[in-house]
Amino acid sequence: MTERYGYWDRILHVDLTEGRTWTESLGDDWFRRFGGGRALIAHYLLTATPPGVDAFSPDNILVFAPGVATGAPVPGAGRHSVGGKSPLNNGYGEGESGGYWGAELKRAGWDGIVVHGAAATPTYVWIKDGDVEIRDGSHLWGKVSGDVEDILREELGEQRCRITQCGPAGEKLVRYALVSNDLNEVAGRTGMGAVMGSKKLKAIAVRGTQPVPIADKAGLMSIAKWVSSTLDENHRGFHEYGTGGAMQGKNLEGGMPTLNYREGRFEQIALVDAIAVAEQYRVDMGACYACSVRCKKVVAVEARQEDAGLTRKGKAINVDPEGRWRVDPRYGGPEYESLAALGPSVGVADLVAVLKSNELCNALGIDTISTGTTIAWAMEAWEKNLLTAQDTGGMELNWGDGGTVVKLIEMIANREGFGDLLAEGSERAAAKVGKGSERFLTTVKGMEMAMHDPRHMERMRGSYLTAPTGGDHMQQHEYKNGGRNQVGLCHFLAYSDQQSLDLINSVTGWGMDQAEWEQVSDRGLAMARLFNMREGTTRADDRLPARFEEALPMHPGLSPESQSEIVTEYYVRHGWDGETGIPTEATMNALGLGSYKAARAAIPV
Amino acid sequence: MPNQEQQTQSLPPVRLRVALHADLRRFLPQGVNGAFPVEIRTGATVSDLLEALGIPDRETITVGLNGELATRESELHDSDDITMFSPMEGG
Ligand code: SF4
Repeated sequence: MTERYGYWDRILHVDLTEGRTWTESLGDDWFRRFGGGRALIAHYLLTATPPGVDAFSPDNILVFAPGVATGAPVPGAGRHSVGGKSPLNNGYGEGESGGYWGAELKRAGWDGIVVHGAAATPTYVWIKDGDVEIRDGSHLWGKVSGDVEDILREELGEQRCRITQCGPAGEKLVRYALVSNDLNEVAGRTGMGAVMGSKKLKAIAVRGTQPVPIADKAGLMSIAKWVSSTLDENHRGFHEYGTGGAMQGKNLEGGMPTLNYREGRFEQIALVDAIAVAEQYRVDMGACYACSVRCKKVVAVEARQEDAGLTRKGKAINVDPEGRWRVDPRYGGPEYESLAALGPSVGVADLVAVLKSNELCNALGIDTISTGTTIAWAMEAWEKNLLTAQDTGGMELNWGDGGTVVKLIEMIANREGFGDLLAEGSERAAAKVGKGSERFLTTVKGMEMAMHDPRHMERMRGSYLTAPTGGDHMQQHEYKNGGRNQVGLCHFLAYSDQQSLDLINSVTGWGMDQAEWEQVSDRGLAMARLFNMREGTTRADDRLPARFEEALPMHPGLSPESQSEIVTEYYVRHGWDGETGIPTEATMNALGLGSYKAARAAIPV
Repeated sequence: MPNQEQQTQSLPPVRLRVALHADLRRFLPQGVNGAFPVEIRTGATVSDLLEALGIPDRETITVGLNGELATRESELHDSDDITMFSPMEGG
């Protein structure tokens, strides 16, 4: 056996139909060329699912994909992806998450989990290092994530196990249901929670006790030290406020998604940004595995004055001035996307309502971006009389009504009444409602766009247009974040290109150079593209919705021609056909993707 | 007749309130958490203020002047409220 650092070369397969598990070795070469993350997901989508597979069919797979850096003791290395065929975009599905679960999986000796088939009755999986058990999960079905975590830790007798799960919304196949881990971290996008629910897999609990082997511990330590000793210069904003500390700046620039992206400024922005959260309801800052940046807000609100007290750390918990809601700190706090999607995007300036909405999305298991955006679409349809009280069961959908948003979240997660329509996502809902309501959709490839207006932010244009998942803001369509995705490294760390490379090399001992590192990302992108095209995506899907052709007061609209130019440039730069976006044969050969040629041949013409 | 330079130097300085946000908080004066007063010469611009606060000017820094977007050339006046942000994304 060669010396192996950063990974184990062990993929766990779990077949829920047959109730069996097995281990696969992909080989050392695979890990060096692909890293993990997106490439691991795309590898199995291309090789283990039939073309045209339905997202909710047992033939779909669900892949839990850390990368070679995940679990290394260095800031940012606590990330993993969750992927499969998406019920939202009908193509490549993936959400990424932080926290501790991914690192725990690595420490249990696994580089990924591929879930096949579907169980007949609710199930969960328990992994303790090398031991894997498929167990009955009937008692967990229908429960919110906090209860599931309590029950499992108790019954497994392992207070330190880490748990990932789909919420009640995933069980109900809400198309943008998320997979959460550690209660406050989510793989939010593309509906992977619904795929998990369709397999009747409620949770995966993991306990790992083996440190991931590291090639150059001293080198890695010096990178970790650099982060903690330069926190002030490089991560001050994140450290103090987490994301959302600059919403007022975005607003000044006229780029704050407001009222379903119709406007670029929200007058009450200072009531719902991360500064307001910190001043009123934030009780702590949390971290992901091994990260000294500690950028995760933890919020708490009490509904009644008599319950207001101090947290265990002595921080005062404030009360909802209207006495409506308690917000449980177990579910963390809102990131920028959640603040924006559940605040300005739906016109809500009621901070406690935003915090409650965020908590419910986590506990019930729906993506805050798609949730807020789908509600924003419905509110605009209501305003224009395209939806009426008859459709909503008597509910009014007025901009700015935080109580309505909270109520709708529960209805969506439970597919109750009018919530059943919204649980389909805005694009499918608009197709049902018709009457021109499609005109104010803000989806790309069926997925609701994140809270960065591409008219304001030039660098988001390419991300929304070409990200394999659709309306995704993570800029993982380029090598920088794409590569981090595949090795399991957080985008927020201000590592330079050289530092990222040093980090990977310290973990793995590979001695990669920049060119090799960029190819790692190019492979993942080409594979995800192949999968999308196999499933029917074409160039026509690489476009922004009509709303973005309209100008904002401070930013011009984006013409279809200007979008097309971005797309062509992107295809060509990645060695894909400049017209169709199919990775060319030469590119496939240069990247060593010959084993995926069958998928290329299966692309419908 | 005094030249313009001498003229502005002899005028009293303008008093501003400045708030720094996100990563720019590292340029806060010692012990300051919220907005703080700054005095700067009459006729000074946003660019001059950045320099006076020791903030290296990057294109990505957003400056608000009394609640509106300012440019680097915007002139500062007595009692102006200035807010500055570095961009923060993601989540
Ligand atoms: S910077 Fe924040 S999100 Fe990223 S790993 Fe650290 S704590 Fe987690």
